[in-house]
Amino acid sequence: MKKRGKGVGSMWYGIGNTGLPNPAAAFVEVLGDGTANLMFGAADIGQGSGTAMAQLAAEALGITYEKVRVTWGDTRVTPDGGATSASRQTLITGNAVLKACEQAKGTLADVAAAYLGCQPEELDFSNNMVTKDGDATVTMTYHTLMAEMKTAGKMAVGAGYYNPTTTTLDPEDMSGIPYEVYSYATTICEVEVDTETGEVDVLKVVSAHDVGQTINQSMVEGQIEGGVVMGQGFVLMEEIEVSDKDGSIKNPIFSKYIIPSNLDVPEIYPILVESEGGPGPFGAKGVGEPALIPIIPAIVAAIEDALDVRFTKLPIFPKDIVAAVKEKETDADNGVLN
Amino acid sequence: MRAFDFFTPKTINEAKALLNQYQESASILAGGTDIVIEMNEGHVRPDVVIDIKRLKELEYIRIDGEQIRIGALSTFAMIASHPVIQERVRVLCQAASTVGSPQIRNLGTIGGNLATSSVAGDGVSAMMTLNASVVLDSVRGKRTVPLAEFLEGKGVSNRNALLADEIMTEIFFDLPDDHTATAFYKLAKRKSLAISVIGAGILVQVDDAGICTKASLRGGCLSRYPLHFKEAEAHLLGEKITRELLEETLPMLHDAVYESAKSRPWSVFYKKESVQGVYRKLFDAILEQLNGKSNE
Repeated sequence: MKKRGKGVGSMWYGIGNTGLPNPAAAFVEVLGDGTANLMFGAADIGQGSGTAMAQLAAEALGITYEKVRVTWGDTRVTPDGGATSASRQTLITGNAVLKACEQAKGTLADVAAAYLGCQPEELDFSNNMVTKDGDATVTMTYHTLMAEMKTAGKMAVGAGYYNPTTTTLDPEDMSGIPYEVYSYATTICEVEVDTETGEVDVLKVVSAHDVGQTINQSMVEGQIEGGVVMGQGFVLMEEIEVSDKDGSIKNPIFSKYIIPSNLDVPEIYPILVESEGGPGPFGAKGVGEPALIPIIPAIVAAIEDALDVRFTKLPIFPKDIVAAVKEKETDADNGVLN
Repeated sequence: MRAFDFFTPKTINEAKALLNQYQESASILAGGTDIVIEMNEGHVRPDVVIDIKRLKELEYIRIDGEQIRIGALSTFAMIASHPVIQERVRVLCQAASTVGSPQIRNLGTIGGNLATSSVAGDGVSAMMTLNASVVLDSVRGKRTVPLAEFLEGKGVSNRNALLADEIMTEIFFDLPDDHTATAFYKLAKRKSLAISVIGAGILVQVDDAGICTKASLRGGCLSRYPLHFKEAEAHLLGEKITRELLEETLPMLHDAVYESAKSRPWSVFYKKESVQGVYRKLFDAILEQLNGKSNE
């Protein structure tokens, strides 16, 4: 018999460790043709940090995204970005990129202000133009600006690094302020469980995430969708089998370590929630790990809702479901109340 | 992978001559979805590989009177998309369309699947349900062997009756008639790229009064070769097919799986329980097909 159930999982998750120093840095140079070279150490492991940093630099410098060339994760030339871990790169390298751009922009603003006859702080940099605030007639192109820079013998370079305020934690009980900012998320899902075969179909998932500020909508949605599928595998399929004899892993290949295939993926509806402020670049937080976390309790709760049975270990395999259903039937036959 | 000689014959006669020459030192490569892995992992170490993929004469699906004849090099993709198979041989269509992934179905052949004779071969389960026969050819001549006998045989590899100089050229079976319903269900750990946990087939034929005149139930992955649910078949034969009658066989399926798999305690519990859920799905499909036909 097929039974349906719904489940909810919620979480908050710290972004930017403050217990120990946690810095990252970036370099930028705006070139004579109005393009920019951006360099940082953060490793893009598929989440799209290279794209996000280029977008942040473009926004900060007032040039279009296509004009930013990114060099990342090359220890010969890029400054240290620390690990791509703990959902930290958007917050930490992102702020470093903004700081580097601010420095380059300071030089640009001085030259532009002299040319336009206004104060540097009155200038707006956007869409490859520099314009005096409130007066669209006082304007120059980046092309002109870079020609002026050349005439003046100045270069638009910047270096920046960012380190969340290190608070240190109590060495006895680790109490204190462990993170700079927190991401929040709630995921709801519906499952269909076949009580006889133990098959679980994850039908539909809605996953809402407070990301602070969306930098790139498609990529954040992609991260959330990827996290949902990863969590689905965590609940229903993935188990590292360890040999009792020598501790070796018995299933170190993907034909035996089962993860969801495309046909297993449910309908996923990511919702991006933008909250005010925060220490991140334009208020952005991290979503890398939050994407994965709440789907796990949500699926477990949905299965429990469908079967009215508690599960206390993962993964929940079809055989576990069949065993739980049988046990419940046996208990009912024996008059045991759940 | 160790070195080997590689031949690509262009005719069946060339292939047979090569097999006759090299005998057990040769391995046949068809789709390559099994043998390439076996060679890479060192389970098979042939001196000679004979790639038969160019033998287009073995790539066909023909309706021959009351029978369907399928060339051994027909891929799962060809089988799954064939209109007559889709319409009248659902057990085979469904088995073929759930093998591996689109890439594997484009390469993997039905002949290769039967010749590999894996415990979990979905083609094996479906063809056993259809009571198919295979044609084996060699320079000595052709022979036709019922698939059940083929699987029990002790040939060159111990997996089946195929001898060192033989090549499987064709699989054929009776085309299910208007009074026959068939279905296949693959129970697996995920929905694609999965090895079956149970690959179950069913065929039920009824007369005008709805009385069962033929029943075939075969479950893959439940014994070395698809488990034959003889007691369940006997229970259906001669009786009017109803949901109640079909469901009466569920304890028989349970017991048959238990008997077959009890020496593997880690899997027997799940398999004996889930086989009932699997067949309940197949009964739904059978009843829908039979009722649909009676309403026409």
